[in-house]
Amino acid sequence: MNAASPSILAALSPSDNEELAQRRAVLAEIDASCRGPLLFLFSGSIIWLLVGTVFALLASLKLHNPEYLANYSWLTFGRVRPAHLNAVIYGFASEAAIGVTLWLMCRLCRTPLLFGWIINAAGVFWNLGVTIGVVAILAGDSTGIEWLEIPPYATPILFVSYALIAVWGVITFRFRREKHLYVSQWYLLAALFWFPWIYSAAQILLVLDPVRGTVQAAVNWWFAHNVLGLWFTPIGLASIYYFIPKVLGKPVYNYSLSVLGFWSLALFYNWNGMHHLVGGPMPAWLITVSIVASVMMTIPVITVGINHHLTMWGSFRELKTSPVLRFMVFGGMSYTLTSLHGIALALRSVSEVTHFTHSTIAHSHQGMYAFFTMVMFGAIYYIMPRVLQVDWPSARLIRVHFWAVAIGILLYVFPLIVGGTLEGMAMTNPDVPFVDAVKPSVVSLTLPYLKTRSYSGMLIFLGHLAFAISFGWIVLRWAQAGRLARLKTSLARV
Amino acid sequence: MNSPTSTPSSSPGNDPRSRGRPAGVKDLAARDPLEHVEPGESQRPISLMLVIFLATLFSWAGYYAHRYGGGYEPLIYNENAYGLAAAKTNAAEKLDPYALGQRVFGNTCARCHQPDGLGLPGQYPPLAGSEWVLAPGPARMIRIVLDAVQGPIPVKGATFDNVMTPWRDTLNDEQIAAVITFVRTQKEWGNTASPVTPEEVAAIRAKTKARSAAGPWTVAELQALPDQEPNP
Repeated sequence: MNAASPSILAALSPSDNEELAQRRAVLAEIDASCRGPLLFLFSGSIIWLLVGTVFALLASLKLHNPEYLANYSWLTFGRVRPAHLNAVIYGFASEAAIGVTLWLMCRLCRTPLLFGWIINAAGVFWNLGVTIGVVAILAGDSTGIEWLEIPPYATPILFVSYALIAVWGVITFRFRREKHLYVSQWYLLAALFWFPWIYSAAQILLVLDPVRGTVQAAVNWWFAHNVLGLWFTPIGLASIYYFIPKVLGKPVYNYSLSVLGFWSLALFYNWNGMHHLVGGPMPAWLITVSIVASVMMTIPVITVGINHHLTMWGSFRELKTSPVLRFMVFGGMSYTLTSLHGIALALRSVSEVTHFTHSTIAHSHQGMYAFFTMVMFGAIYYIMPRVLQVDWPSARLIRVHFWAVAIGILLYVFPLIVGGTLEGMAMTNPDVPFVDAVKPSVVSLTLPYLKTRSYSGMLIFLGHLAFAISFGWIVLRWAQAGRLARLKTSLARV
Repeated sequence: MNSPTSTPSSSPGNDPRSRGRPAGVKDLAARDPLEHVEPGESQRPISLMLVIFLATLFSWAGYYAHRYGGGYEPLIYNENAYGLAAAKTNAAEKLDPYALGQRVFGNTCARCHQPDGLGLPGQYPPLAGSEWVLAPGPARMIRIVLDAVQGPIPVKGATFDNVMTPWRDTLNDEQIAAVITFVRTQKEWGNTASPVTPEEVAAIRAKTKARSAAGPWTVAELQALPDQEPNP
């Protein structure tokens, strides 16, 4: 399985030929052990990505063209939008996150993937749960609680599946061969513990045995905010921490900053969420503490930003040749931007204007897409050829993918932030009507921005198609290579 | 481990990884002979600037949480209630009587007497410019709001034969005083009579407690009363 070609290695540095070759053999063994589960998880996640993007486009078109498909109850806005959210959050993003987590865990623990059947079983359950959930939402069976729309008969399936994966993660960690813990592992292990905590707490407090009154809103915002903060963010950061130094062959800039960034995230993030309820019927201290925690998020954001940026420093021309780096750096910069933007949005004076406007939507997409999804794309581009031992078939498709989604998401986020802010200013101005046939109104003001969003959505969909074709193609190539290899061995036997 | 392997300085031109492969996919090769070993970290001190920044941030956090925390009281909803003592006075803060009167009028009176105070001809008498409202003293008006009045009643030259709803058990003294003050002093309707205090309402409420069982006032009963309530 050793992938190293000895001639080149020997020519470069004959002295550590032996040791390097040995290390690579370990890596190749690990990669091979991950193949089945990762193929399954990434295929599933890409199918959900396409499904979720279609729902997103439908929802976006409906916002400026309300008659569009309005006669099908299954495709009304109130169902398509949560279907989009759950398909991309639980179907695409979580599945991709789990796949990347598995591979990073195995590589950093120097352990081949043990008990692959656990992961396969978990993957089957996970997809089953999300499918039942999304169909139920389209059928009108949503719980009506944002980010938790999947009805209670599907969530236990998701939870069981998740439990299997978390147990697997802890087992792999327990049997690690590498004693030194790299920064990515802290984040991954923490995320494996944090997600079941927030998910089960929110399920119990909102769906199974609902708390009363405004406490529901508090729990809901806490959950919605922390899915991003304590599940996707740590996995995204772990990936950036791994892939930038990996591709560059440099160490991470500063270990102390890594420590500071990790523990300040762990300390401050889960206080966030209530700042979305500024002006709502909440005890003042709850909102105040949440705002303080949001501003304190400057610490992890700045330290992680400095750490990533200074690791990249001096190597920016590598962006020209490395798509992985391109996705990672785009994601890393978006993380800094979206977090600083989010901190500004938490302040009372800003929140009064921007909340309940499209600006919040732009912000969440900046976090989930411009940061997390881009990082996942980069990771999948790095991982797939290694686990399949086949090259990506087309550099052009990768370029189309990158530029379509990069331009698409920028075209999505920035106009919508501007549009949302103008919308908020108009809504707080009593002289501007909400909707009016003649005069400029809140609705007529936001229309151009909503249309821009649909165009950007189409561009993003194009990028996703390029990605899906690339992925299908490399899997096909691998299958063909396998057939060829089997043919060769059988011929040799004859 | 964690000392990353040093690789020969790689400019895109002479990097063996980019040879023979399409440009732009350097690190996407399956059999990448130069794949770097797993990454590590450098050890460096944290810069003084960052420490100062952190200290500033923590100080701000302490100040903000104290200033806008409402004393961590569960029932304080106003972040501007500074500290616990201020929070308590803030909780007992009285509503502006004019705003209260306007709200009570909108919720209870406007349905019949209309938001513009002009009533509906033939059904509900007007309040704007009504001689019953603008009487020098509020004695009759307080009684009408408490226990209502039975028509026919002459108002501004027209007669209204209807029966009002009593508010004795629904509105408290403060609300009745506020709404009567609002109606009597509503300049947009041309009303410029004197305001009414909750104490005046309380006095009449106590005095007419027995009378309330007999149902709404009649016009004759009300007209027999003096304009000004005699001091007890």
